[in-house]
Amino acid sequence: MFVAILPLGITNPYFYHVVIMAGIFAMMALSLNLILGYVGQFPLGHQVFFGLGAYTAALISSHAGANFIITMVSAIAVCGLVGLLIGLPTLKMQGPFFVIVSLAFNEIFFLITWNWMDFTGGPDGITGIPYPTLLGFVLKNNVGLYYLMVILVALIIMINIRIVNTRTGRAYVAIRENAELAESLGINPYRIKLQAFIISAMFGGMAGGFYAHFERFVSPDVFGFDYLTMMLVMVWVGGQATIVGPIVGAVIFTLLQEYLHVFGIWRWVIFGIVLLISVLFMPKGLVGAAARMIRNRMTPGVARDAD
Amino acid sequence: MLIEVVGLSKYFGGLAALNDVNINVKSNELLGIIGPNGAGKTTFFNVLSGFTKPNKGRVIYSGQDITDLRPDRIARLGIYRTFQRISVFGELTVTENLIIGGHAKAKTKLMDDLFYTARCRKYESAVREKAADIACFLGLEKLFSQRAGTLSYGNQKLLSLGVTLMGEPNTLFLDEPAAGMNSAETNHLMSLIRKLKKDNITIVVVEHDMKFIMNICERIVVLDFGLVIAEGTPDEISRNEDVIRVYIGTKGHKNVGN
Repeated sequence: MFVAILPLGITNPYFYHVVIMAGIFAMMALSLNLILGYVGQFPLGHQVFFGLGAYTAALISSHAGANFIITMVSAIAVCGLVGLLIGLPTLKMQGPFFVIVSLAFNEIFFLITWNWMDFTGGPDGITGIPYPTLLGFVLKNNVGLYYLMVILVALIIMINIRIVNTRTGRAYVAIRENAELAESLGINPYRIKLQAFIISAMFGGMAGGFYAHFERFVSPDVFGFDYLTMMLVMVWVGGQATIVGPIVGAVIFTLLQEYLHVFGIWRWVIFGIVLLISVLFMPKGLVGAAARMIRNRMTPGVARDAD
Repeated sequence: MLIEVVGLSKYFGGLAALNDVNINVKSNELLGIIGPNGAGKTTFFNVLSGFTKPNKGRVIYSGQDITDLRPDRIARLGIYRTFQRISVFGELTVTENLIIGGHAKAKTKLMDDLFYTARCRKYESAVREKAADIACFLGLEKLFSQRAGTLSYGNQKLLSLGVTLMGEPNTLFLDEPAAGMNSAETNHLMSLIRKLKKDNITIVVVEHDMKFIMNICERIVVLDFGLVIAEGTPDEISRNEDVIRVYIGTKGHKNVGN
């Protein structure tokens, strides 16, 4: 309700920029959360899907003039495919291969976009990406883009809710908690991890694709390690393995980032401190801490678990 | 024969954990496996459940060679196992543990879950009902929403048995199910195992508690240093001189040790 009527009466473009970026960050955080929070696998180059989604959308719309729906579907499909390529050989192996190979893929795509001048524009990136069009309407005003963001975030939230409340998501958690036991119960850890990673990659592609149309500009910066750091802070501070957590994390992070701009590069130090405090004192993030407070309030006098 | 184990050998370095082991299990039999520490009992279970691949030998399950199958494939054939150490999802509730146990029995696919199809709704309510039934069977119904990690040791052991029952097994490998249980809990477990046998489940149990094994098993196989040294009814085994020499001689350590 609040989300739906929020834009009424607000015309400040800066406000929209911040809120829509918060939405994009929420999509990215939910993407990382699915594979890191629920399945317990950490792809160190997860930002590759954000970058790849952004570049796919940018290239297809500027080179081929495809409309928004087609560019988004392509961005999601390309990310799913790259997720498959990264996961297929590495998720089967014990050890750090998955972590490292995902990072390697990120570097490869960074180098391609940086060096392939004719196709990707090199370090200058791609400008003039068209605004999203839906049903013949060009969404070039802030309110339209805002609602489009809300729809995409809602879609990802809905998919997340369906997954975590059913057999699919319980298999994810089972693997995170005890892969050997899960296996003995007929769960194939390799297949489940791969499935979760591909879905997670697709969410990342969706975030990237929308970002390209919203900013109307992409450069190799989208493959920056900053984005991984951001996703991590959002997921951990908000609360991993919850759906609300990464969204809360994304909103807080976006606001902090805007308000702390005056500190310049030092804001990264502040993020580091926030992350440290959160990990030390709220291992389950803000959402976990809040849930514990509510539980304690509801059962006064009873010593609750100290998780 | 339901399970035929033919010439099974497994070496760890120079040590033979299993040395040309031949064991047959009849359908609906309640077989006990005993032996001193390091006799190869757990390795035997690990091979039969697919977690360890043997160096030599085959495992045939109702005519099908399952030696090279992955653990999850073996579970899907209806062969379930429990682990020696506590094996429940400690952070999850009793209900959630049980529901995960039913994973392999479900026919819902990712798409059913995403679109919340009729099949998904039907499965989700059916599996909860089944979890409640199993919890009642185990006597854990009051602990339904407790985190599994907070249960007593004995109840966690019971829960891990219940988790396998959710998969409707036809064969169960129980690795020291009574370890760490007090005598009341052990008696409760024995009555549960007898009921499971009545439900036509084939059960193979490794246990150090001799009273437990002698009480419930129809047949006992004794392993020592990877070799089968004796086989017979509980009566025969308790009179067997080889067994008395290698096993009963160190019995004092057994009951305290594990």
